[in-house]
Amino acid sequence: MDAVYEPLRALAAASFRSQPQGHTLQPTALVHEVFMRIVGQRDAVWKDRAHFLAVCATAMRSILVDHARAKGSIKRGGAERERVPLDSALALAKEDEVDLLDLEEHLVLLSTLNERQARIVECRCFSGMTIAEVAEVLGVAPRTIDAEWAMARAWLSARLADVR
Amino acid sequence: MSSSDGARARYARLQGLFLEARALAALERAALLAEVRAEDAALASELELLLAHDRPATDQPAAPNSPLRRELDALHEQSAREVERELPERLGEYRLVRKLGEGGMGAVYEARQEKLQRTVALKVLRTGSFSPQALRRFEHEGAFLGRLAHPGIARIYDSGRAETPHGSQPYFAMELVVGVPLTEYARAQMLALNERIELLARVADAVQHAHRQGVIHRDLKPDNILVDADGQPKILDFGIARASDSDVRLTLQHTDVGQILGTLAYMSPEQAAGNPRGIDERSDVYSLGVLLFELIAERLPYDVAHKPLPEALRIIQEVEPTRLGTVDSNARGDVETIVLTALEKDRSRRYPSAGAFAADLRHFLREEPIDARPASRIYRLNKFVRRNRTVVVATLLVLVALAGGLVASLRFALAEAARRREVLQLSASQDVEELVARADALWPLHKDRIPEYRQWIDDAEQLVRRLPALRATLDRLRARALPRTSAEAARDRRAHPRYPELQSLEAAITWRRRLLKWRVDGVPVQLPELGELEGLDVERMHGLAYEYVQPERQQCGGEALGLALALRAHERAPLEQKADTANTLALAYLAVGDDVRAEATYELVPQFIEQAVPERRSVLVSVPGRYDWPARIRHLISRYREQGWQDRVEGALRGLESQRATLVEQIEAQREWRYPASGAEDHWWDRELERLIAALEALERDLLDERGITAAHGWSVRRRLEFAEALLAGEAPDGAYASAWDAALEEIQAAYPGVDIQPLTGLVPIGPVKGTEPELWEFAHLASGDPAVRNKDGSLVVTERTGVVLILLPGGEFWMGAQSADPGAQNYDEGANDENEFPARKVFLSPFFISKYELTQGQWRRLTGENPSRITPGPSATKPVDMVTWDASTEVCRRYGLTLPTSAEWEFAARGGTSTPWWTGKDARSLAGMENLADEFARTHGGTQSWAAFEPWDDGCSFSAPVDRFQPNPFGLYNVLGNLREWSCDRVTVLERFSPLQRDPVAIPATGATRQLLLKRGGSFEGLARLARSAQQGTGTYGDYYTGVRPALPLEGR
Repeated sequence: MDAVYEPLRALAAASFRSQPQGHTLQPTALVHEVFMRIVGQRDAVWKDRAHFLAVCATAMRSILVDHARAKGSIKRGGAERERVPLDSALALAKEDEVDLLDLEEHLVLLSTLNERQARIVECRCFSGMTIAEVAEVLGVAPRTIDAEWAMARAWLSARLADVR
Repeated sequence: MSSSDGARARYARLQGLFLEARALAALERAALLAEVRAEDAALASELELLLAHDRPATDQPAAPNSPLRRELDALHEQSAREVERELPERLGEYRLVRKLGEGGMGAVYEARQEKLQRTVALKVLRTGSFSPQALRRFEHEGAFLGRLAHPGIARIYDSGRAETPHGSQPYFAMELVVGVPLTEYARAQMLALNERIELLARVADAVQHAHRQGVIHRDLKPDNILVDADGQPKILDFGIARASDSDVRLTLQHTDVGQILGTLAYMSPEQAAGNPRGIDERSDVYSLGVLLFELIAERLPYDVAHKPLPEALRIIQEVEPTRLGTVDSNARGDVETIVLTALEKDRSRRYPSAGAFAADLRHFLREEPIDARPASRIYRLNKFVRRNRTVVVATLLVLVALAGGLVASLRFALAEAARRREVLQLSASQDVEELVARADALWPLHKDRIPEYRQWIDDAEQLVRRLPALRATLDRLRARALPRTSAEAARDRRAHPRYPELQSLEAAITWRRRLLKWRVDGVPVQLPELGELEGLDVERMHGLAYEYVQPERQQCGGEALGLALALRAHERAPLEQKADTANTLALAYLAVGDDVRAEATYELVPQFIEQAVPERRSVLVSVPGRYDWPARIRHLISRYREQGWQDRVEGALRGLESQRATLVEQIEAQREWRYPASGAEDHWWDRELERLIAALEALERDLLDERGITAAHGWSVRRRLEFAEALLAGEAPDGAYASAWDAALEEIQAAYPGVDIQPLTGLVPIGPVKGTEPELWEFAHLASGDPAVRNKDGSLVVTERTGVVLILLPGGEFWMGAQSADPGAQNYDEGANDENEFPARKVFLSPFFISKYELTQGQWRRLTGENPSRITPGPSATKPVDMVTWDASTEVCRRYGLTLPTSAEWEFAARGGTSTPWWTGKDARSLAGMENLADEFARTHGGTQSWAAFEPWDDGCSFSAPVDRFQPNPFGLYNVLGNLREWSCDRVTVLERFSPLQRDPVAIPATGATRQLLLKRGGSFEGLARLARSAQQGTGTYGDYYTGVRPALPLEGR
């Protein structure tokens, strides 16, 4: 299903749209910012594609959150935080928008409840990894990942809907 | 937020229930929920909520195919390739053991060469950054470097390329040195000062060895100089920077900022300037100086570690190093001098070689005097003055290369790419400089240069084509500038040099508009209140009124006030002044367009004059101008009444308005752009781009346009091309010039027996010189103007358009100089100057051309676009050019295929076969009317009082005369002895130094210290006959109004 990760690009686009003018990074550029971040780490040698993607996911998440925070701080003073569209298949919410910083907040909470699930969400959402790839990286059977992903997704989706 | 184990347990329980429930059918699920609710209602609600948010598993993607994922996959591919490349198993015959490190140009491995059973250091270069040519050079030089054999240099065993799955991989195999960096070694061993110096001297020995083989290291730094267990320093990577074509810029490209700064500290100023051509042995000497400093002081001579890159580069190029003695008081005196000498910014002041540096270090160690001298204070001061714009550009190039390098592996360089384009645009400014230099080198004018002219024009056109893009860039940049505030605009306007002009233009327009209103529309003149002006006395009031209304007033706008003042002044004036005030009043009425009242008023004037007291009356009548007033006023009145007055005023108004529009455009044009405080860089770009655009525009106008001509560069290249093409056509077998030569060649050859004469490019024969015996021929020099034509009487006509006329003289033996000793001997001249004219010498000259006339102002203007002459009156520009320097005269002649005559050539030509003091005879009086000298006429007709004396005759001319006036000498040359003195290419000739019968003698060409002896020959309109003798040699250093040019040209190159 093609549309699964499209929203992340949209997310990326949206999170950069409100940057000061002149800063016109495209989603593609975001991807490269991710790369810059990971190659900046010493010994950026990864075993395989899945490992690489997992590293990217972490970087992507932190870049997006940084940008969202920067934007939030610009808007401090009552303005509503920007909502970004999130796709239905990701099913974090019934409605098609989610606040990136809300997501981040709940991901952090989730990681205190079940660290692996938070990691699964990160890999799935921020670098478009398949269940099989996540399973490979985390060294767990795909069935387990499948179940945990279902749980984490439902939990986040319910929480995010609840916030709204 | 903290989370207790309880929360985790609860979450785990929830998850278990959720996974169980979602596997159940709806009914069973409801049962489960009821079960849970009975036990824990909150947990049940939570479970219900989760289930509501669940999605079926079929929503999962089967394969990753989103755009985001595709981007990441592409990145992975790319990085995977990089990774693989970094860790090859083997290269050629080498098996890689482990990675030792990574540098700017690639990685170094410990490798095993199995065939020879030896361990080597294998340096594998990154291929991405090398062009095929660079790779070829790399191989070539690699083999060459293998010949460097010195205990202080890590041996290069082998170089080549290994074919790998990722393409051809260049490598160097070299001696594996196990040791520690130089500085660390010195620290660890706690070496004493002398030991440290000795250590560095050994390094310098090794460097000297390589230099002698023609190899420069370019990257000497502690990391590249390891000291092994035996205490032997070994230099790594010799010549590799060069062999791999990685000058500073490339080195930076693949290195992170920290490494760059590490390398920068040892980089010479010429390297920091990004100028690979400026690098030679002395660049290594500089790096050795830094190493010496560091070894002694345990710190670097500059603090560049924490500076931004451009600042660091600037420091290296401009800031004086810390003085060693201030860091370590033991290192005052000679050591300090040695270090400072090695660290000179100007490499010509450094040690000429590493060997000299090593030798001086050993002098010091042996307590012998050192060769280096402390720099003088003046010299040090002077060094601060240097600052070079190209440095800035180079810095930017380095910066951009750096930025580019960091993202080089990414496919999208985004903003950096745009910036790089801008820098490339800027690099055009060096291209412009280069093109200008090339154009200046495309002399002398010659048809053989046609391909070069064409090539130049192609290149220049390519560059000039960038102008629109550059202007667009500048416009875009300026769109980012702060808007000009109205206060700034007003200030700019007022500061504009032509602002006053605009003001008076405005006033003139306003006045004419009012005039039309008053006269045509019948709007009455509004007389302003006089206010404080009421207090003025009649005289002052009258004077002021006059200023406002007089017909030649420079500033309009005060006419109504002028009228009010004139009325009041006339009313108050006593009777004897009323003639004056009535006059002014009439002018005031005219200024407001009221010719009727003006006429009525001026008719009263004679009556007032009658009534004035007699003395006053005589004044009124006698003052010129005043007396004319009635006539002038009558004239002004009649102008108002002429047919078409209104059309004329309206026409004038339109003219003034269009003038104003042009002027306003100029004045309002913004000349300075301000950028936000954060835009210091923008401001810099603004100025650089503006400068570049101006340079390109000048290039287009002066050197590319067919009409381009400047004193600095002579003809534009296109003009040279057009001339050369016309010449080529004319000199082709059936061309006009070729025909002229064909027709005359036999006759010419007959006139010069024994001289081999063939058609010469750029010249055409005119015919035999009128009245010379034996026959001499005249030739037209085509570049300087139209060929001269003959009058009915056979003499040449010189007009402003005429080009240089050259007469071919056969040369041969002649007596040069003069002597006052023996009336019976050769060239007796009682006025001879024994210092340099004595003794007369018989010399031998080859055939040469010399101009029949002095170079005219018209010719000079055609060749340079300017006329510097001071003596310019006269209907045509056939007067000789004056105020030309020796340099300018030499250069102009050279450009157009001519020269200045040597002293001997000039004298041969001036004598015209005579041996008397003047060609006219041995008596000064013989010159009367023949040559233009300082004479009676000049004394009485404006010749300056500073002239000491005048000859007693009258030649009818006080300054310089047109070049064809006065009489020709026996060779047909005009004004050799008079009119203007003439520059010679020689310097003052001491005849004693010429050997008898010397062939084509010349004194040393005038350069440098002998400039004051620049030579002028012949007399001038402001000098006496005594100074106009044929043997007379004069000197001068600059252009003046009595010195000109008589071009010459040897028949065969001198």
